[in-house]
Amino acid sequence: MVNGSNGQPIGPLTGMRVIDWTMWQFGPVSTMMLADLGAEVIKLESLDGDHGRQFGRVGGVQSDMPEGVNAYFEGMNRNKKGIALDLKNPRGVEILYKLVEKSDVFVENFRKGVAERLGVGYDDLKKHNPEIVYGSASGYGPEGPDSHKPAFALTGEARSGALWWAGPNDNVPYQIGVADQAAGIMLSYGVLGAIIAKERYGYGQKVDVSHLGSMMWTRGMQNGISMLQGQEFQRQSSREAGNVLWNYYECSDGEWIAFSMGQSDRYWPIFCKGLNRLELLEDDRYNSMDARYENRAELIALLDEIFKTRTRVEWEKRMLEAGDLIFERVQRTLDLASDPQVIENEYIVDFDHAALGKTKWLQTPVTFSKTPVSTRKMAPAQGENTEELLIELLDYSWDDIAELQGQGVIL
Amino acid sequence: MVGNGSVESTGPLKGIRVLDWTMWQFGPVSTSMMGDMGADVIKIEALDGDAGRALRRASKLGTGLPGDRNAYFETTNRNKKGIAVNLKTQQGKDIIYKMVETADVFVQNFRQGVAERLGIGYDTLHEINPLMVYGSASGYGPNGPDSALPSFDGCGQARGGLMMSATPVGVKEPSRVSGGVSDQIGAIMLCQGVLAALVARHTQGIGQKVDTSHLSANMWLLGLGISMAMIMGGVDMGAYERKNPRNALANLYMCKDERWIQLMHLQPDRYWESFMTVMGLGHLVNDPRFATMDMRNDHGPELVEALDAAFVTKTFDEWDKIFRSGYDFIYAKVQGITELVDDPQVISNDYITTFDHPTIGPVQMCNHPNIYSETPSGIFREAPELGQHTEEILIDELDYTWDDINDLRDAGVIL
Repeated sequence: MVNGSNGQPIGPLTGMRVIDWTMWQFGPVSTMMLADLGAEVIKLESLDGDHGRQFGRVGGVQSDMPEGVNAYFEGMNRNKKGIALDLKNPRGVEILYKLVEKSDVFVENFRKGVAERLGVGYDDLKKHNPEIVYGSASGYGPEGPDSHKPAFALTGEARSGALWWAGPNDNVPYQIGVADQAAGIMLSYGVLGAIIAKERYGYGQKVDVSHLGSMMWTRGMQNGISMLQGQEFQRQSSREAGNVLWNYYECSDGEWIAFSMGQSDRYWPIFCKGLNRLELLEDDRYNSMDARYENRAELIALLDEIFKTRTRVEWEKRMLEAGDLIFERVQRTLDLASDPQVIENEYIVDFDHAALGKTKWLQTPVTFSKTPVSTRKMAPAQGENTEELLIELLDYSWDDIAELQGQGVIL
Repeated sequence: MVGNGSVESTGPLKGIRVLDWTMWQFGPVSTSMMGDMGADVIKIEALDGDAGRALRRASKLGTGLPGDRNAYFETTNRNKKGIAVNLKTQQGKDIIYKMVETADVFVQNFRQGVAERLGIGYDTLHEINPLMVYGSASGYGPNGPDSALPSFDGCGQARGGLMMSATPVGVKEPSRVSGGVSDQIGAIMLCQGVLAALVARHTQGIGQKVDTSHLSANMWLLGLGISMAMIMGGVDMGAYERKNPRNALANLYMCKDERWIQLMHLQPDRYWESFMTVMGLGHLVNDPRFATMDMRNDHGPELVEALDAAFVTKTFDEWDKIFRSGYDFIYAKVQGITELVDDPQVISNDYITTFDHPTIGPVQMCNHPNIYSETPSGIFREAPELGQHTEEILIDELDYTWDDINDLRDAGVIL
């Protein structure tokens, strides 16, 4: 275990410093991932703070917690230090420039034009640090007629086609709710690519990532096939699956079991053995991939009936005994924290939170053999580390601090 | 345009050599992303090839292309060279070991134990090249009781919670997010893990193993929801209900032309008055049922009914024009993926790009989604035919001779 309050990072980005001028989810997730990887991330907020701090409700869930902690904000700002500055005050911008001189990465997710108006666009910052990697998040990409359009996660899912990825084939869109997270992942990935280029070639650059591009990429393989074939994938319910071995079935206890075997001819005999229905192997309506495709409606109806005769645990046992099949239980979010596979791989870790006590946290899901990711620190209170950073990193004095506070530049 | 159709790559990984011993989608997409970023990726296949070459049907779409090409394989293996080697022979292993000496990255997505059995596990390769990054993809992670179990796309969605979270409220049957997303996010995370390890190699002087799994990547894709559920001590965010939303101004509505529109106002108080007025629902602005955000939650179905009735009076384009005339509303058109090709925003940012494929001619492909100002990523070459570059790599890179090539072929080591 590498997780503990305020421990030292040991990840692959140890020694890198990131200025995180982001809010809501897209930007904050990307920089939290860099922090999980060991970078020193300084969250820069305006004096009224990241609006995510006030987000009272997410979906159906209340996000306010004891001691002024907000679950939404907490969930994507751990491992960061916090500084609060008024960027509309030239002295605030000057502090930012000094930070940039001592940093490797700057990330922002404001609407196009906002950074430039405040003097913190890429062209401004590279004057202060030509090697800076400038990560920029947007809804629709840096170019094009909608590049200025405001965006939140669902606008990205809508525009990219993602509202047609899940749900029954009933001509109504369904949301999945992953666009900010997917785009945050792509932004941290883009920044890593640019850090490598910086390390190897010695120059910085700007990296642009959007909801639209990221969501298109999240379903890249199928979108790629669609582009090559000029055809849309149709949504389907499990009752219409093209391959009955790439489908899921309800068991007698109401739990579901999913099968994921694309090579259906290879697995069909073992599957029938697991079902204890070897006579299906002789049935020429079902004895090849094409035959099963042709007769899928009646075969799925039959399989539905068979699976309803036993509990999921019984089916899991039978399928394991039958041989080398590829299947899985269908879990819900709250099943994950007690899943031994999740625990042993530290995909969820226990963290002793200063305000909340023992809590469970999702950790960046990559296992490094030498430089592990870690969960070290709760999300910063607004401006939590302003004084520390100004004094220790930027050589301001306590007198300067008092003056800056008096002028409303810092909190 | 990025460097499409040119064999010269331009991305941030230019000069990095990646050995790609992967098949199906999870591994291959991760290495094709490295290829997009300019790395020199060599796909290593057994003599009977990546099983993905033979996948005839993805969901209900056929995958066959002219010239015996396959859309599934082409999509997941662009920007790679190909070498076909029999890893069950000692000479075959020697070829891999020689390549490892000068490689920066090795990636594999076979079941736990397979690489070790063939003599190309992390410990063996780390001894040959201690600075090499070894990326490993699995279904359930390197540790735990199920670490050796096989897994395909749907397994990760099922176990990781994605399937249930995409299931509409009141629907009993799990809703699978269209196939491939689980593999794709696994691939994205694996590629990211390798990139971070390359940074550590440069800054800390170490090579290491990086593991990513279907289970972890799917959990991470739902990261916020899972984290919040854990922090709140076990409250599931639940799925989404269009007709009874928590926030009617962040919801889906159908326009007159049956085009759906997604509203996304997370600060609804800020937009309430102007939005309702523009929708012709000004009389509801001060309706006591909708006075506060919480009251609008309580009366969600009534509000959705009013907005449903308003939206069907105009087409999407008509609403779009009104919304753009001086308002700052946050919304998007709900599109299908074949509409993306004509979306000016997609075109302007080159998110879909045209690639001149030597066998099938000009084709459109989903481009790498990140835009680098100095080192553009892109599509530099098509997927290799099985063993297409075996001779070139053995002779140019590993100093084998044409006589050696003939011997190896006779011994069944290469094609």
